[in-house]
Order: sequence, then C-alpha cells, then structure tokens
Amino acid sequence: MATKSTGVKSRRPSARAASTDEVWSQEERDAIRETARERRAAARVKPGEERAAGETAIRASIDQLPEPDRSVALRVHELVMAAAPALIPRTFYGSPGWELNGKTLCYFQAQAKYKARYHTFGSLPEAKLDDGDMWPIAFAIDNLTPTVEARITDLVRRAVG
Amino acid sequence: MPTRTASDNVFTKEERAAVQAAARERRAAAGRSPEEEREAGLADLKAALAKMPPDDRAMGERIHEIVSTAVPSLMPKTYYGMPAYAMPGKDGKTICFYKAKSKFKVRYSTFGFQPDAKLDDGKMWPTEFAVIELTPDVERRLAALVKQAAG
Repeated sequence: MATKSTGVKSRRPSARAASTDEVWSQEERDAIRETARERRAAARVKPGEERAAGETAIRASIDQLPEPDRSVALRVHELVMAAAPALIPRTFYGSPGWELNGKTLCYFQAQAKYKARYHTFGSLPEAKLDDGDMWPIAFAIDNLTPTVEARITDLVRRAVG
Repeated sequence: MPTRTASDNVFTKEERAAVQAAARERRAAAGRSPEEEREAGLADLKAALAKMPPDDRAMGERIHEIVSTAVPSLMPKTYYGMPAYAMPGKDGKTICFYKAKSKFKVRYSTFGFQPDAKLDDGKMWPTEFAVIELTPDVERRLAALVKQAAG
C-alpha cells in the first residue's frame, strides 16, 4: 500500500513538471520565480528603507543582464531618477521599475530578458500620460540616442504629473 | 509570524488566471491542424469576449471587427486569455492583443503589439496604447496600426 501510494505521488509531480517545461520558456519561468522572490522581499522591507532596498534590487537585476543591455538599463535608470528624483526604484517582474505612491509608474525591459528584438520602456496606469481617448503607454527602444534619451526624460516628467 | 511561501500569496487571482490561460492555449494550439486553427482560435476569442463585463466586451467586439476588416488574413486567437491576432501560417506569431481594463482591474484598456509587428520607426516607437473609448478617430488609428503591423 505504501509503495503504491508513493509511486502515484512521485509520478504526478514529475508529469506536471515535464509538461510545464514544454509550455514555458526558461526566460518565462525565471521571470515568474523572480517576481515571486521580489514580492516576498518587498513585503519584508521596513518603512523608510524602500529606496535603499529597491536600489539594491534594481542594481542586481541590471547586473544579471549581458552587455550591451546592462549599460542601456543602467543609463535608463540614471535618466529616470534624474527626471523624477522622488521615484522609488523597485523591480517589476524581475526588470527595473520605478514607483510612485506605492505603485509602479514605469519599467524597463531589456531586450535580452525575453530574447526580444528591442528593449521596452513602458508605463502603467499610475502614469499621467493621458491624451484624449488613445495614447501610447509602452515603447520599443532600439538603442539610446540623445533623441531617445530626451523622449524618455519627457515621458517620465509627464508621467509623474 | 505568518509564513509566505505559497505562490498563491504572491500572485493575484488575475495573474494566476492569465498564466493558467496561457498554458492551456499553448497546449491546445500544439494539437491543432492548420485548418482547425482559425475556427478554434475564433471560438477561443469569442469565449474570452463573453467573459468580459459589458463595456469591455463591446469594445472587444468592435476591435475584432476593426482588426478583421483591416487585415482579414490575421488569425484570431487568445493570448494569456486575451483576444489576440497572429500572422497566418504555421507558428504564426501573435502580433497584437486587446487587454480589457477589467483583466487586471485598471483604469484603461490596452491595445498592444508584439515584436513581430512591423511598427518600427527610427530608434523608438510606440508598441502599446491605452484606449479609453473607440471614437471614429481611435478606430482609424487602430486600423492603420494593425495594417502597418501586419506589413
């Protein structure tokens, strides 16, 4: 009886794990795990220590990136913080993000993160980019030129309102 | 002190539903023939619309008309449980999706494009849009974007 039940128990999880491996890419599974980790860590941060903890978390997520993504992410972090110093760094699904009033305002997803052909700089509903009945909230970034940097700065300034 | 280890505590109900929907979609798509693909994809899309609150459903239905009219060859499907459209052909990649505001309980709906969309414009270009209301102008902009995206 004991043998039988052990057999059933060991078969089920491995079957489920195998099919999960087929359905999700390594990058996707990593992102889910990182997100779980970042949320548990954020829940443990003491009031007043959010900025330092977030800065550490963001730096760690940037350090994991290959070049040239790492340099691009670091530069975007500088641009965002220079445009709106009140923002608090906080990782967002394992990518650098910046929050306002406890909610993520914008994020930077490096190209290498999901093996995409471009980086993405995106904003969330907390951002005040509203313009009529339809407005852009996320952008593909091929690389950082002075024009692109100026546009990111402008977006962040407008987003904080 | 409470222990927070279960992923149930970390992810919201909406996030878990989206991930589960995507897993189902990928498994289902793997078993379909190209002929079944369009029909099954359309059925999935309609089922996703049927689950939405009335205002989101109305917007989704109208977006379906706009996209289908703009580029009839696009394949309807769902993507993380959202209405979406893929390039035709085997392994055609999703190029755009409609994320109703009720999906993650936010203040606007989103129409977004994936990397296979051909919207490239210089070094930086918009890939996702907040949509409040489908005015004639918004409808024209969406149709133009979808046409451009499908190249």
